[in-house]
Amino acid sequence: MKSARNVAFGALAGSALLLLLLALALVLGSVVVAGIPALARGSTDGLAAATVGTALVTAIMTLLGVPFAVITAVYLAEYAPECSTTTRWVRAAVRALAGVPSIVFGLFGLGFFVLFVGRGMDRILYPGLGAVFGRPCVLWSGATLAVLTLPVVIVTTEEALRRVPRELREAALALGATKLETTFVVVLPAARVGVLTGVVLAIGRGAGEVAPILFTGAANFVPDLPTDVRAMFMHLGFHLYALSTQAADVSRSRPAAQATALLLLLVTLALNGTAIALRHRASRE
Amino acid sequence: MTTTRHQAKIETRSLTVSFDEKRVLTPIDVSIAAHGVTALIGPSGCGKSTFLRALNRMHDTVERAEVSGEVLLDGEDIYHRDVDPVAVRRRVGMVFQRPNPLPGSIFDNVAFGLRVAGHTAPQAIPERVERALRRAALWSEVKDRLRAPASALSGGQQQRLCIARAIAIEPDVLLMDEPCSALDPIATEHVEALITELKARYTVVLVTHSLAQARRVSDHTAFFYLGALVEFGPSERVLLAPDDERTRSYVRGAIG
Ligand SMILES: Nc1ncnc2c1ncn2[C@@H]1O[C@H](COP(=O)(O)OP(=O)(O)O)[C@@H](O)[C@H]1O
Ligand SMILES: [Mg+2]
Repeated sequence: MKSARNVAFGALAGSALLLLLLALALVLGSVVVAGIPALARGSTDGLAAATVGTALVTAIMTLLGVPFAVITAVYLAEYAPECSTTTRWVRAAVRALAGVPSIVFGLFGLGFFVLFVGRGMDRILYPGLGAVFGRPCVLWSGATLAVLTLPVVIVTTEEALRRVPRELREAALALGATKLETTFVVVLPAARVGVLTGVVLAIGRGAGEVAPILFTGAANFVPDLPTDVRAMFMHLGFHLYALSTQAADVSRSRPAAQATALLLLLVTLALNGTAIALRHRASRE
Repeated sequence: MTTTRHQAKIETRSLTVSFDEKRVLTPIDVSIAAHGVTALIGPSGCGKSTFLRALNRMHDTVERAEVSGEVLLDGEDIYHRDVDPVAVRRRVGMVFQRPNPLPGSIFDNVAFGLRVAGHTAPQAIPERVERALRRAALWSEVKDRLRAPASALSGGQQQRLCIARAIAIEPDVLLMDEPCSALDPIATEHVEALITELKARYTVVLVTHSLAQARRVSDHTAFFYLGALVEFGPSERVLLAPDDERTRSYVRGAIG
Protein backbone atom coordinates (compact mmCIF):
# COMPACT_ATOMS: atom_id res chain seq x y z
CA MET A 1 0.00 0.00 0.00
CA LYS A 2 2.63 2.43 1.16
CA SER A 3 5.10 1.53 -1.56
CA ALA A 4 2.38 1.77 -4.21
CA ARG A 5 1.65 5.27 -3.03
CA ASN A 6 5.35 6.08 -3.13
CA VAL A 7 5.58 4.87 -6.70
CA ALA A 8 2.55 6.91 -7.65
CA PHE A 9 3.98 10.04 -6.09
CA GLY A 10 7.33 9.37 -7.72
CA ALA A 11 5.71 9.06 -11.12
CA LEU A 12 3.69 12.23 -10.53
CA ALA A 13 6.73 14.23 -9.47
CA GLY A 14 8.73 12.81 -12.37
CA SER A 15 6.13 13.77 -14.95
CA ALA A 16 5.77 17.23 -13.47
CA LEU A 17 9.53 17.70 -13.80
CA LEU A 18 9.42 16.38 -17.35
CA LEU A 19 6.61 18.78 -18.24
CA LEU A 20 8.57 21.67 -16.79
CA LEU A 21 11.73 20.78 -18.68
CA LEU A 22 9.73 20.33 -21.85
CA ALA A 23 8.13 23.75 -21.49
CA LEU A 24 11.52 25.31 -20.76
CA ALA A 25 13.10 23.60 -23.76
CA LEU A 26 10.23 24.68 -26.00
CA VAL A 27 10.33 28.30 -24.92
CA LEU A 28 14.11 28.66 -24.88
CA GLY A 29 14.57 26.41 -27.90
CA SER A 30 12.13 28.23 -30.12
CA VAL A 31 13.53 31.61 -29.08
CA VAL A 32 17.11 30.51 -29.69
CA VAL A 33 16.47 28.54 -32.89
CA ALA A 34 14.41 31.28 -34.49
CA GLY A 35 16.40 34.13 -33.00
CA ILE A 36 19.92 33.25 -34.08
CA PRO A 37 19.40 33.41 -37.86
CA ALA A 38 17.24 36.53 -37.51
CA LEU A 39 19.89 38.18 -35.38
CA ALA A 40 22.67 37.05 -37.73
CA ARG A 41 21.00 38.80 -40.66
CA GLY A 42 21.26 41.92 -38.55
CA SER A 43 18.65 43.74 -40.59
CA THR A 44 16.63 45.00 -37.66
CA ASP A 45 16.75 48.66 -36.76
CA GLY A 46 16.74 49.78 -33.19
CA LEU A 47 17.96 46.54 -31.62
CA ALA A 48 21.18 48.09 -30.36
CA ALA A 49 19.30 51.03 -28.89
CA ALA A 50 16.78 48.69 -27.28
CA THR A 51 19.53 46.51 -25.81
CA VAL A 52 21.38 49.45 -24.31
CA GLY A 53 18.09 50.96 -23.17
CA THR A 54 17.17 47.77 -21.30
CA ALA A 55 20.53 47.66 -19.55
CA LEU A 56 20.33 51.37 -18.73
CA VAL A 57 16.85 51.28 -17.22
CA THR A 58 17.82 48.25 -15.14
CA ALA A 59 20.94 50.05 -13.89
CA ILE A 60 18.90 53.12 -12.95
CA MET A 61 16.39 50.89 -11.19
CA THR A 62 19.16 49.28 -9.16
CA LEU A 63 20.91 52.53 -8.28
CA LEU A 64 17.70 54.20 -7.13
CA GLY A 65 15.95 51.24 -5.53
CA VAL A 66 18.64 49.33 -3.66
CA PRO A 67 19.89 52.13 -1.35
CA PHE A 68 16.31 53.03 -0.47
CA ALA A 69 15.40 49.42 0.17
CA VAL A 70 18.53 48.81 2.26
CA ILE A 71 17.83 51.83 4.46
CA THR A 72 14.25 50.65 4.97
CA ALA A 73 15.47 47.15 5.85
CA VAL A 74 18.04 48.59 8.28
CA TYR A 75 15.27 50.59 9.94
CA LEU A 76 13.03 47.55 10.23
CA ALA A 77 15.73 45.17 11.46
CA GLU A 78 17.80 47.44 13.70
CA TYR A 79 15.80 50.44 14.80
CA ALA A 80 12.06 49.81 14.63
CA PRO A 81 10.58 48.88 17.99
CA GLU A 82 9.34 45.32 17.48
CA CYS A 83 5.67 45.74 18.25
CA SER A 84 4.99 49.40 17.49
CA THR A 85 2.10 50.38 15.24
CA THR A 86 4.41 52.17 12.79
CA THR A 87 6.49 49.03 12.29
CA ARG A 88 3.40 46.93 11.71
CA TRP A 89 2.14 49.42 9.13
CA VAL A 90 5.49 49.60 7.32
CA ARG A 91 5.59 45.81 7.14
CA ALA A 92 2.00 45.60 5.90
CA ALA A 93 2.79 48.24 3.27
CA VAL A 94 5.82 46.30 2.03
CA ARG A 95 3.75 43.12 1.75
CA ALA A 96 0.94 44.95 -0.04
CA LEU A 97 3.42 46.52 -2.44
CA ALA A 98 4.69 43.08 -3.40
CA GLY A 99 1.21 42.06 -4.47
CA VAL A 100 0.34 45.05 -6.66
CA PRO A 101 0.02 44.20 -10.40
CA SER A 102 2.81 45.74 -12.43
CA ILE A 103 0.51 47.75 -14.69
CA VAL A 104 -0.64 49.64 -11.60
CA PHE A 105 3.00 50.54 -10.97
CA GLY A 106 3.07 51.93 -14.50
CA LEU A 107 0.13 54.21 -13.77
CA PHE A 108 1.62 55.17 -10.43
CA GLY A 109 4.91 56.04 -12.14
CA LEU A 110 3.14 58.26 -14.61
CA GLY A 111 1.13 60.03 -11.94
CA PHE A 112 3.82 60.32 -9.31
CA PHE A 113 7.20 60.50 -11.05
CA VAL A 114 6.34 62.06 -14.40
CA LEU A 115 3.49 64.37 -13.51
CA PHE A 116 4.16 65.16 -9.86
CA VAL A 117 7.93 64.94 -9.34
CA GLY A 118 8.99 65.74 -12.92
CA ARG A 119 6.61 68.66 -13.46
CA GLY A 120 7.40 69.90 -9.98
CA MET A 121 11.12 69.91 -10.75
CA ASP A 122 10.48 71.74 -13.99
CA ARG A 123 8.47 74.41 -12.23
CA ILE A 124 11.34 75.02 -9.81
CA LEU A 125 14.40 74.42 -12.00
CA TYR A 126 13.24 75.53 -15.45
CA PRO A 127 10.32 77.93 -15.05
CA GLY A 128 8.74 78.73 -18.40
CA LEU A 129 10.90 76.30 -20.33
CA GLY A 130 8.30 73.60 -20.92
CA ALA A 131 8.79 69.94 -20.02
CA VAL A 132 12.35 68.88 -19.22
CA PHE A 133 11.82 66.37 -16.43
CA GLY A 134 8.04 66.48 -16.66
CA ARG A 135 7.60 63.91 -19.40
CA PRO A 136 8.13 60.16 -19.74
CA CYS A 137 11.82 59.27 -19.84
CA VAL A 138 14.26 56.53 -18.88
CA LEU A 139 14.87 58.09 -15.45
CA TRP A 140 11.20 57.78 -14.45
CA SER A 141 10.95 54.29 -15.92
CA GLY A 142 13.93 53.29 -13.78
CA ALA A 143 12.35 54.91 -10.74
CA THR A 144 9.06 53.09 -11.35
CA LEU A 145 10.85 49.76 -11.67
CA ALA A 146 12.75 50.60 -8.48
CA VAL A 147 9.47 50.94 -6.56
CA LEU A 148 8.25 47.67 -8.08
CA THR A 149 11.33 45.82 -6.84
CA LEU A 150 11.54 47.47 -3.40
CA PRO A 151 9.71 44.72 -1.49
CA VAL A 152 11.97 41.88 -2.57
CA VAL A 153 15.15 43.80 -1.66
CA ILE A 154 13.68 44.97 1.64
CA VAL A 155 12.58 41.50 2.69
CA THR A 156 15.82 39.69 1.77
CA THR A 157 18.00 42.41 3.30
CA GLU A 158 16.01 42.47 6.53
CA GLU A 159 16.30 38.71 6.87
CA ALA A 160 20.03 38.86 6.23
CA LEU A 161 20.45 41.59 8.87
CA ARG A 162 18.53 39.55 11.41
CA ARG A 163 20.80 36.60 10.81
CA VAL A 164 23.92 38.60 11.79
CA PRO A 165 24.82 37.20 15.22
CA ARG A 166 24.31 39.34 18.27
CA GLU A 167 27.92 38.68 19.37
CA LEU A 168 29.18 40.64 16.39
CA ARG A 169 27.09 43.68 17.26
CA GLU A 170 28.20 43.43 20.88
CA ALA A 171 31.85 43.24 19.81
CA ALA A 172 31.52 46.56 18.01
CA LEU A 173 29.39 48.24 20.68
CA ALA A 174 31.77 47.18 23.45
CA LEU A 175 34.61 48.86 21.56
CA GLY A 176 32.83 52.20 21.73
CA ALA A 177 31.11 52.15 18.35
CA THR A 178 27.80 53.95 18.18
CA LYS A 179 24.73 52.08 17.02
CA LEU A 180 24.97 53.80 13.65
CA GLU A 181 28.63 52.79 13.22
CA THR A 182 27.87 49.26 14.34
CA THR A 183 25.04 49.01 11.82
CA PHE A 184 26.85 50.41 8.80
CA VAL A 185 30.46 49.37 9.48
CA VAL A 186 29.89 45.90 10.94
CA VAL A 187 26.37 44.55 10.54
CA LEU A 188 25.55 45.63 6.99
CA PRO A 189 28.87 44.38 5.52
CA ALA A 190 28.33 41.10 7.34
CA ALA A 191 24.94 40.83 5.64
CA ARG A 192 26.17 41.82 2.19
CA VAL A 193 25.52 38.40 0.63
CA GLY A 194 21.87 38.68 1.61
CA VAL A 195 21.65 42.20 0.23
CA LEU A 196 23.13 41.03 -3.07
CA THR A 197 20.67 38.15 -3.16
CA GLY A 198 17.91 40.76 -3.01
CA VAL A 199 19.57 42.64 -5.86
CA VAL A 200 19.72 39.46 -7.96
CA LEU A 201 16.03 38.83 -7.39
CA ALA A 202 15.17 42.47 -8.12
CA ILE A 203 17.05 42.44 -11.41
CA GLY A 204 15.46 39.16 -12.32
CA ARG A 205 12.06 40.68 -11.80
CA GLY A 206 12.74 44.18 -13.10
CA ALA A 207 14.76 43.59 -16.25
CA GLY A 208 11.97 41.95 -18.20
CA GLU A 209 8.97 43.98 -17.01
CA VAL A 210 7.16 46.00 -19.65
CA ALA A 211 4.01 47.23 -17.95
CA PRO A 212 5.73 49.69 -15.55
CA ILE A 213 7.58 51.41 -18.39
CA LEU A 214 4.64 51.66 -20.82
CA PHE A 215 3.57 55.14 -19.73
CA THR A 216 6.74 56.27 -18.01
CA GLY A 217 9.39 56.32 -20.72
CA ALA A 218 9.39 53.50 -23.26
CA ALA A 219 9.42 54.68 -26.86
CA ASN A 220 8.30 52.91 -30.02
CA PHE A 221 11.33 53.90 -31.99
CA VAL A 222 14.41 55.96 -31.03
CA PRO A 223 17.25 54.35 -33.01
CA ASP A 224 20.05 56.42 -31.41
CA LEU A 225 21.71 54.98 -28.32
CA PRO A 226 20.35 56.63 -25.16
CA THR A 227 22.62 59.38 -23.83
CA ASP A 228 20.29 61.44 -21.64
CA VAL A 229 18.31 60.10 -18.68
CA ARG A 230 15.67 62.72 -19.50
CA ALA A 231 14.92 61.20 -22.90
CA MET A 232 12.60 58.38 -23.85
CA PHE A 233 14.27 55.08 -24.62
CA MET A 234 13.79 51.80 -26.41
CA HIS A 235 13.42 48.63 -24.38
CA LEU A 236 13.67 45.06 -25.70
CA GLY A 237 10.53 43.88 -23.94
CA PHE A 238 8.48 46.82 -25.11
CA HIS A 239 10.00 46.55 -28.59
CA LEU A 240 8.95 42.92 -28.76
CA TYR A 241 5.43 43.84 -27.71
CA ALA A 242 5.26 46.62 -30.29
CA LEU A 243 6.63 44.42 -33.09
CA SER A 244 4.20 41.62 -32.43
CA THR A 245 1.06 43.67 -31.94
CA GLN A 246 1.38 46.96 -33.74
CA ALA A 247 3.20 46.20 -36.99
CA ALA A 248 1.12 46.60 -40.16
CA ASP A 249 2.19 43.18 -41.40
CA VAL A 250 2.96 40.84 -38.53
CA SER A 251 4.53 38.13 -40.70
CA ARG A 252 7.06 40.65 -42.07
CA SER A 253 8.14 41.76 -38.62
CA ARG A 254 8.41 38.22 -37.27
CA PRO A 255 12.21 37.83 -37.76
CA ALA A 256 12.77 41.14 -35.97
CA ALA A 257 10.55 39.95 -33.13
CA GLN A 258 12.48 36.69 -32.88
CA ALA A 259 15.80 38.51 -32.78
CA THR A 260 14.45 40.84 -30.09
CA ALA A 261 13.21 37.95 -27.99
CA LEU A 262 16.62 36.30 -28.11
CA LEU A 263 18.37 39.53 -27.16
CA LEU A 264 15.95 40.12 -24.28
CA LEU A 265 16.74 36.66 -23.00
CA LEU A 266 20.48 37.24 -23.33
CA VAL A 267 20.41 40.65 -21.63
CA THR A 268 18.33 39.36 -18.71
CA LEU A 269 20.68 36.40 -18.38
CA ALA A 270 23.74 38.65 -18.50
CA LEU A 271 22.33 41.05 -15.87
CA ASN A 272 21.36 38.15 -13.63
CA GLY A 273 24.73 36.52 -14.22
CA THR A 274 26.60 39.65 -13.18
CA ALA A 275 24.58 39.98 -9.99
CA ILE A 276 25.03 36.30 -9.17
CA ALA A 277 28.79 36.47 -9.80
CA LEU A 278 29.05 39.50 -7.50
CA ARG A 279 27.11 37.69 -4.83
CA HIS A 280 29.27 34.62 -5.21
CA ARG A 281 32.44 36.64 -4.80
CA ALA A 282 31.07 38.36 -1.71
CA SER A 283 30.11 35.05 -0.13
CA ARG A 284 33.61 33.64 -0.55
CA GLU A 285 35.40 36.58 1.07
CA MET B 1 40.44 61.05 37.22
CA THR B 2 41.90 61.03 40.67
CA THR B 3 42.38 57.64 42.16
CA THR B 4 44.77 58.98 44.78
CA ARG B 5 42.00 59.47 47.29
CA HIS B 6 41.08 56.09 48.58
CA GLN B 7 38.15 55.81 46.24
CA ALA B 8 36.69 52.73 44.64
CA LYS B 9 37.13 52.34 40.90
CA ILE B 10 33.63 50.94 40.60
CA GLU B 11 30.91 51.19 43.17
CA THR B 12 27.36 49.99 42.69
CA ARG B 13 24.43 51.29 44.71
CA SER B 14 21.19 49.29 44.76
CA LEU B 15 21.98 48.03 41.30
CA THR B 16 19.25 45.82 39.85
CA VAL B 17 18.48 44.56 36.37
CA SER B 18 15.11 43.34 35.08
CA PHE B 19 14.19 41.60 31.88
CA ASP B 20 10.57 42.23 30.87
CA GLU B 21 9.82 43.56 34.37
CA LYS B 22 11.25 40.40 35.93
CA ARG B 23 14.03 41.24 38.34
CA VAL B 24 17.07 39.00 38.06
CA LEU B 25 19.35 40.83 40.50
CA THR B 26 18.58 41.59 44.13
CA PRO B 27 19.84 45.18 44.70
CA ILE B 28 23.61 44.97 44.75
CA ASP B 29 25.99 47.24 46.63
CA VAL B 30 29.61 46.50 46.07
CA SER B 31 32.82 48.43 45.83
CA ILE B 32 35.66 47.35 43.58
CA ALA B 33 39.12 48.81 44.14
CA ALA B 34 41.31 50.12 41.33
CA HIS B 35 43.86 47.69 39.85
CA GLY B 36 43.70 44.05 40.65
CA VAL B 37 41.38 41.30 39.58
CA THR B 38 37.94 40.77 41.03
CA ALA B 39 36.42 37.36 40.28
CA LEU B 40 32.67 36.82 40.10
CA ILE B 41 31.70 33.24 40.85
CA GLY B 42 28.45 31.37 41.34
CA PRO B 43 26.26 28.73 39.75
CA SER B 44 25.18 29.42 36.19
CA GLY B 45 22.08 31.55 35.84
CA CYS B 46 22.76 33.39 39.12
CA GLY B 47 23.26 36.74 37.39
CA LYS B 48 27.05 37.11 36.98
CA SER B 49 26.86 38.12 33.31
CA THR B 50 23.88 40.32 33.98
CA PHE B 51 25.78 42.16 36.71
CA LEU B 52 28.90 42.46 34.55
CA ARG B 53 27.00 43.85 31.59
CA ALA B 54 25.48 46.51 33.81
CA LEU B 55 28.98 47.90 34.41
CA ASN B 56 29.49 49.07 30.81
CA ARG B 57 25.86 49.80 29.96
CA MET B 58 25.66 46.84 27.64
CA HIS B 59 22.05 46.30 28.71
CA ASP B 60 21.17 49.57 26.95
CA THR B 61 21.38 47.66 23.68
CA VAL B 62 18.75 45.12 24.75
CA GLU B 63 15.21 46.39 24.45
CA ARG B 64 13.71 44.27 27.23
CA ALA B 65 16.43 44.96 29.80
CA GLU B 66 16.07 47.65 32.42
CA VAL B 67 18.69 48.78 34.91
CA SER B 68 18.04 50.71 38.07
CA GLY B 69 20.31 51.95 40.82
CA GLU B 70 23.70 53.53 40.34
CA VAL B 71 27.07 52.45 39.05
CA LEU B 72 29.78 54.90 40.06
CA LEU B 73 32.90 54.87 37.93
CA ASP B 74 35.56 57.02 39.65
CA GLY B 75 32.73 58.40 41.73
CA GLU B 76 30.45 59.37 38.86
CA ASP B 77 27.23 57.57 37.98
CA ILE B 78 27.49 56.07 34.50
CA TYR B 79 23.70 55.89 34.33
CA HIS B 80 23.26 59.62 34.90
CA ARG B 81 21.15 60.98 32.09
CA ASP B 82 23.93 63.29 30.82
CA VAL B 83 26.32 60.39 30.34
CA ASP B 84 26.76 58.93 26.88
CA PRO B 85 26.83 55.09 26.99
CA VAL B 86 29.32 55.08 24.10
CA ALA B 87 31.76 57.13 26.20
CA VAL B 88 31.27 54.68 29.08
CA ARG B 89 32.14 51.71 26.87
CA ARG B 90 35.34 53.39 25.77
CA ARG B 91 36.43 53.53 29.42
CA VAL B 92 35.07 50.12 30.37
CA GLY B 93 36.13 47.49 27.86
CA MET B 94 34.63 44.03 27.57
CA VAL B 95 35.80 40.57 26.52
CA PHE B 96 33.12 37.97 25.85
CA GLN B 97 32.71 34.30 26.59
CA ARG B 98 33.22 33.20 23.02
CA PRO B 99 35.89 34.94 20.94
CA ASN B 100 33.98 37.25 18.58
CA PRO B 101 36.43 38.71 16.07
CA LEU B 102 34.96 41.24 13.67
CA PRO B 103 35.02 40.32 9.99
CA GLY B 104 38.24 41.66 8.52
CA SER B 105 41.93 41.42 9.27
CA ILE B 106 43.80 41.03 12.54
CA PHE B 107 44.97 44.62 12.16
CA ASP B 108 41.46 45.93 11.46
CA ASN B 109 40.15 44.24 14.59
CA VAL B 110 42.62 46.00 16.85
CA ALA B 111 42.29 49.30 14.96
CA PHE B 112 38.49 49.24 15.04
CA GLY B 113 38.03 50.95 18.39
CA LEU B 114 40.66 53.57 17.58
CA ARG B 115 39.05 54.33 14.26
CA VAL B 116 35.52 54.73 15.58
CA ALA B 117 36.74 56.87 18.46
CA GLY B 118 38.44 59.06 15.87
CA HIS B 119 41.02 60.57 18.25
CA THR B 120 44.00 58.76 16.79
CA ALA B 121 45.75 60.14 13.73
CA PRO B 122 45.75 57.49 10.98
CA GLN B 123 49.56 57.34 10.91
CA ALA B 124 49.64 56.66 14.67
CA ILE B 125 47.30 53.67 14.43
CA PRO B 126 49.90 51.00 13.43
CA GLU B 127 51.98 51.87 16.48
CA ARG B 128 48.97 51.65 18.80
CA VAL B 129 47.96 48.35 17.23
CA GLU B 130 51.44 46.93 17.80
CA ARG B 131 51.49 48.08 21.40
CA ALA B 132 48.10 46.51 22.10
CA LEU B 133 49.12 43.23 20.47
CA ARG B 134 52.36 43.17 22.49
CA ARG B 135 50.47 43.76 25.73
CA ALA B 136 48.12 40.95 24.80
CA ALA B 137 51.14 38.68 24.23
CA LEU B 138 50.08 38.05 20.66
CA TRP B 139 52.49 40.22 18.69
CA SER B 140 55.15 37.62 17.98
CA GLU B 141 52.54 35.20 16.65
CA VAL B 142 50.81 37.60 14.28
CA LYS B 143 53.32 40.29 13.35
CA ASP B 144 53.95 38.72 9.92
CA ARG B 145 50.30 38.33 9.03
CA LEU B 146 48.51 41.39 10.33
CA ARG B 147 46.48 41.53 7.11
CA ALA B 148 45.26 37.94 7.43
CA PRO B 149 41.61 37.48 8.41
CA ALA B 150 41.13 37.30 12.16
CA SER B 151 38.98 34.23 11.71
CA ALA B 152 42.09 32.29 10.61
CA LEU B 153 43.53 32.43 14.16
CA SER B 154 43.06 29.64 16.67
CA GLY B 155 40.46 30.04 19.40
CA GLY B 156 43.04 31.02 22.01
CA GLN B 157 44.67 33.52 19.67
CA GLN B 158 41.28 34.95 18.79
CA GLN B 159 40.52 35.49 22.46
CA ARG B 160 43.87 37.26 22.98
CA LEU B 161 43.04 39.32 19.88
CA CYS B 162 39.77 40.30 21.53
CA ILE B 163 41.74 41.35 24.61
CA ALA B 164 44.21 43.31 22.45
CA ARG B 165 41.30 44.98 20.70
CA ALA B 166 39.74 45.94 24.02
CA ILE B 167 42.94 47.40 25.50
CA ALA B 168 43.92 49.23 22.28
CA ILE B 169 41.53 52.03 23.22
CA GLU B 170 43.13 52.18 26.69
CA PRO B 171 40.13 51.71 28.94
CA ASP B 172 40.42 51.94 32.73
CA VAL B 173 38.40 48.82 33.39
CA LEU B 174 38.32 45.49 31.62
CA LEU B 175 35.27 43.27 32.04
CA MET B 176 35.75 39.63 31.12
CA ASP B 177 32.87 37.17 30.93
CA GLU B 178 34.25 33.62 31.25
CA PRO B 179 36.98 34.43 28.72
CA CYS B 180 38.51 30.96 28.92
CA SER B 181 35.41 28.79 28.81
CA ALA B 182 35.80 28.12 25.09
CA LEU B 183 39.58 27.57 25.26
CA ASP B 184 41.80 24.55 25.73
CA PRO B 185 44.09 24.32 28.82
CA ILE B 186 47.16 25.78 27.11
CA ALA B 187 45.28 28.74 25.67
CA THR B 188 43.66 29.18 29.09
CA GLU B 189 47.10 29.35 30.67
CA HIS B 190 48.13 32.06 28.18
CA VAL B 191 45.06 34.14 28.91
CA GLU B 192 45.44 33.74 32.67
CA ALA B 193 49.06 34.87 32.49
CA LEU B 194 47.87 37.83 30.49
CA ILE B 195 45.19 38.73 33.05
CA THR B 196 47.85 38.74 35.77
CA GLU B 197 49.93 41.11 33.63
CA LEU B 198 47.01 43.38 32.89
CA LYS B 199 45.99 44.04 36.47
CA ALA B 200 48.92 46.42 36.94
CA ARG B 201 47.29 48.81 34.48
CA TYR B 202 43.63 47.95 34.48
CA THR B 203 40.90 47.14 36.91
CA VAL B 204 39.79 43.68 35.82
CA VAL B 205 36.41 42.15 36.65
CA LEU B 206 36.40 38.50 35.69
CA VAL B 207 33.44 36.14 35.61
CA THR B 208 34.62 32.57 35.93
CA HIS B 209 33.01 29.21 36.51
CA SER B 210 36.35 27.82 37.59
CA LEU B 211 37.21 28.16 41.26
CA ALA B 212 40.78 27.19 40.45
CA GLN B 213 41.03 30.07 38.03
CA ALA B 214 39.59 32.46 40.59
CA ARG B 215 42.22 31.27 43.05
CA ARG B 216 45.04 31.63 40.53
CA VAL B 217 44.34 35.09 39.20
CA SER B 218 42.01 37.05 41.45
CA ASP B 219 42.60 39.33 44.42
CA HIS B 220 38.97 39.66 45.41
CA THR B 221 36.09 37.29 44.88
CA ALA B 222 32.35 37.90 44.84
CA PHE B 223 29.98 34.97 45.20
CA PHE B 224 26.58 35.37 43.55
CA TYR B 225 23.65 33.13 44.29
CA LEU B 226 20.12 33.41 42.85
CA GLY B 227 20.68 36.99 41.77
CA ALA B 228 22.09 38.16 45.09
CA LEU B 229 25.63 39.05 46.08
CA VAL B 230 26.15 36.66 48.96
CA GLU B 231 29.74 37.22 49.87
CA PHE B 232 32.55 39.54 48.83
CA GLY B 233 36.10 39.78 50.09
CA PRO B 234 39.73 38.81 49.58
CA SER B 235 39.89 35.69 47.42
CA GLU B 236 41.73 33.49 49.95
CA ARG B 237 39.05 34.08 52.52
CA VAL B 238 36.01 33.74 50.22
CA LEU B 239 37.39 30.71 48.44
CA LEU B 240 39.02 28.91 51.35
CA ALA B 241 37.18 30.03 54.47
CA PRO B 242 33.88 31.63 53.53
CA ASP B 243 31.55 33.06 56.14
CA ASP B 244 28.28 32.23 54.45
CA GLU B 245 26.82 28.76 54.45
CA ARG B 246 25.82 29.03 50.74
CA THR B 247 29.32 30.09 49.71
CA ARG B 248 30.73 27.20 51.71
CA SER B 249 28.58 24.64 49.95
CA TYR B 250 29.37 26.15 46.55
CA VAL B 251 33.15 26.10 47.01
CA ARG B 252 32.88 22.56 48.35
CA GLY B 253 31.10 21.67 45.12
CA ALA B 254 27.75 21.00 46.75
CA ILE B 255 25.73 23.54 44.74
CA GLY B 256 26.15 24.65 41.12
N1 LIG C 1 18.58 38.82 27.50
C1 LIG C 1 17.90 38.21 28.51
N2 LIG C 1 16.56 38.16 28.47
C2 LIG C 1 15.87 37.58 29.46
N3 LIG C 1 16.40 37.01 30.54
C3 LIG C 1 17.75 37.02 30.63
C4 LIG C 1 18.56 37.62 29.62
N4 LIG C 1 19.86 37.49 30.00
C5 LIG C 1 19.84 36.83 31.16
N5 LIG C 1 18.59 36.55 31.56
C6 LIG C 1 18.19 35.85 32.80
O1 LIG C 1 18.89 36.42 33.86
C7 LIG C 1 19.32 35.43 34.77
C8 LIG C 1 20.80 35.55 35.01
O2 LIG C 1 21.49 35.20 33.83
P1 LIG C 1 23.04 35.42 33.65
O3 LIG C 1 23.39 36.76 34.13
O4 LIG C 1 23.37 35.11 32.22
O5 LIG C 1 23.66 34.31 34.58
P2 LIG C 1 25.15 33.79 34.69
O6 LIG C 1 26.02 34.64 33.84
O7 LIG C 1 25.49 33.87 36.13
O8 LIG C 1 25.14 32.36 34.23
C9 LIG C 1 18.91 34.09 34.19
O9 LIG C 1 17.75 33.66 34.86
C10 LIG C 1 18.61 34.40 32.76
O10 LIG C 1 17.57 33.59 32.30
MG1 LIG D 1 27.12 34.08 32.08
